[in-house]
This record gives sequence, C-alpha cells and structure tokens, in this order.
Amino acid sequence: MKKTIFILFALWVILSACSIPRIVVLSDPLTAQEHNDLGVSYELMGEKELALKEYELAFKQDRNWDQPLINHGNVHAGQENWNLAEQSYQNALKRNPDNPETMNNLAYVLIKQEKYQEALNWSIKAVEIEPENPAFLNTHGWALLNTDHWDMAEETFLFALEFSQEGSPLRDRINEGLNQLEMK
Amino acid sequence: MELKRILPDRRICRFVLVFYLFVALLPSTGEASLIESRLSTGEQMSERAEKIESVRKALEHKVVAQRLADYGLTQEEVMARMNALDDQQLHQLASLSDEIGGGSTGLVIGVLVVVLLVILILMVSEKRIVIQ
Repeated sequence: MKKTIFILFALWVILSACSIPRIVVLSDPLTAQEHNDLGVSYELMGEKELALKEYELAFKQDRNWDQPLINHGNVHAGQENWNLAEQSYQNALKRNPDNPETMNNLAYVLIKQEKYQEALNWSIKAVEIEPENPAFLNTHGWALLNTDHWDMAEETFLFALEFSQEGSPLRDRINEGLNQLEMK
Repeated sequence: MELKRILPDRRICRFVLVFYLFVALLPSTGEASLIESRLSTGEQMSERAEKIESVRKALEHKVVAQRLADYGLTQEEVMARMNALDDQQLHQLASLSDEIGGGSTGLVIGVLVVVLLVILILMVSEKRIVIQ
C-alpha cells in the first residue's frame, strides 16, 4: 500500500513538474519547386547547410525532378566535397539521363578527383548534346588535356573561344587551358 | 673562364629543368566549368540575384506562418506575430522551424523520460525485467 502511494506521489510530482507532452503535427507549406527556390536563395546568401536541407526536401518531395539534385551537387562542389557532389549528379542523371548540364558538372567533379577518363566520357556526352556551349566545350577541353589528347584539347579550346563572350571569366579559363597546352 | 661566368651554375640549370618537368607533368585539375544552380523556372542563380531575395522572404514568411498555425495559433494571432517580425527574425525562425518544439531532440528527451519513469517504478516496486 505504501509503495503504491509512493509511486502515485512520484508520478504526480514528475507530471506536475514538467508539462504534459503535446503531439504537434508539422505540415510542409512549400512545394518541391518552392523548396528548390528557397535553397537557391540560401546558396546565394552563402548559407550552404540550409541550402542543402532545402534541396533535399525538394528532391525527396518530387522524385522525378532532377534540378534540386543538381543544385545539391553544386553546393557540395562549392564545399569541395567532390565525392558527395558526384553522388548527387549521378542521382540526378538517374532521373534525367539526357541533361547535359548534369553531365558537364559531373565531368567537372571527376576532373577534380583526377578521374580523367570518366570525366572525358561524360564531357563527350555533354558536348554531343550541346556542341556549341562554350562552358561544356571548356570542360571537355580540360578533360582532353588531362587525358593527354593535346591536339584535340587545343582544337576544343579554340572552338570554345569562338562561342564565348569577350572579357568573360569563362574566356580566361579557356585561355588558361591553352596556356597549359603550350607548356606540354 | 669567361663562358663560365656568363652561364649560370650547372646545379641551378638542373634544378630549373627538373622543376619545369615536375610542373609540366602535374595534372591540371583546373579550370573546367561548373554550371551554377537554377531556380524552378530554369533561370540561373546569378541571373536573378535581386528577384531571389524577395522570393526568399515570401517563402520564409509562408514557412513561419505555417509553423505558428501548427502550434495552435489562430489566423489573427499568426498575422499579428508575423507583422512584428523583421527580416532577420523571420530568417532565423524559418531556418530553425524544424527544431522548434524539440524536433528529433524533443523525441529523444521524451523517450528518455518514459524509460526513466519505467525504471523508477520498477525499482520502487522491487520488480525486475529479465531478458533471456
């Protein structure tokens, strides 16, 4: 009897000391597109972790859309988490195998990881889809340069120069590639 | 003798040659292009930097208003609270909205409290749980 009273007293003390837990159901007011756009705004502000969280919500909510996965990969690439970026781009390609931007960005992170042959394979595919995109041509040029296809690299860089705007940062990167070739 | 004066030391020549070879053989992981993130409309991040700020505010407003409603505030109360928030506060609340009320930490604390209660009751009633 004494024990029961003690237990009831202890329970009363504990329950009165802290408020009774309440179950709150949190609903998500944003669509996948809105999560993606919020992620872009966080990425622009430099809030990388928040951006990653928003992109994750976006690509989990819409399981057919590849853009949040590409953006997710871009944030990881910006943090030099090459392996994680590669995974995001690979997942994006599973959703949309024909997106040349994903292929180009995947080639970029593969170059960073010194996986040059794989990078070359993806950059070839990107350039096949958009043969006059100077950014894709530049990435392709760097993949060729690093796999010792120097003549083709030079040709690709010169071709990329034709389509790039005068004074653009991209043009500097292309010229940097040509300079590297001169040293070879 | 004069030729020796004109030419630099052989060791320096060797060093420069080896250094140049080393640099030339280094892989150029370099200056490939990364296409930046895009909005749901397909526009690139840098193309819409000004628009993006207003998009962020609108979306954060939506998130915080929903959280306040989830916690039982009426429409009027939500409006009153939202009007009192400045941009910085709105951003902080939106970024913490999943953590408000505990989130996963709250769940862990809840489970621990229940476990402690069970242990306390078992101890007081001198009973044991035996796992065989």
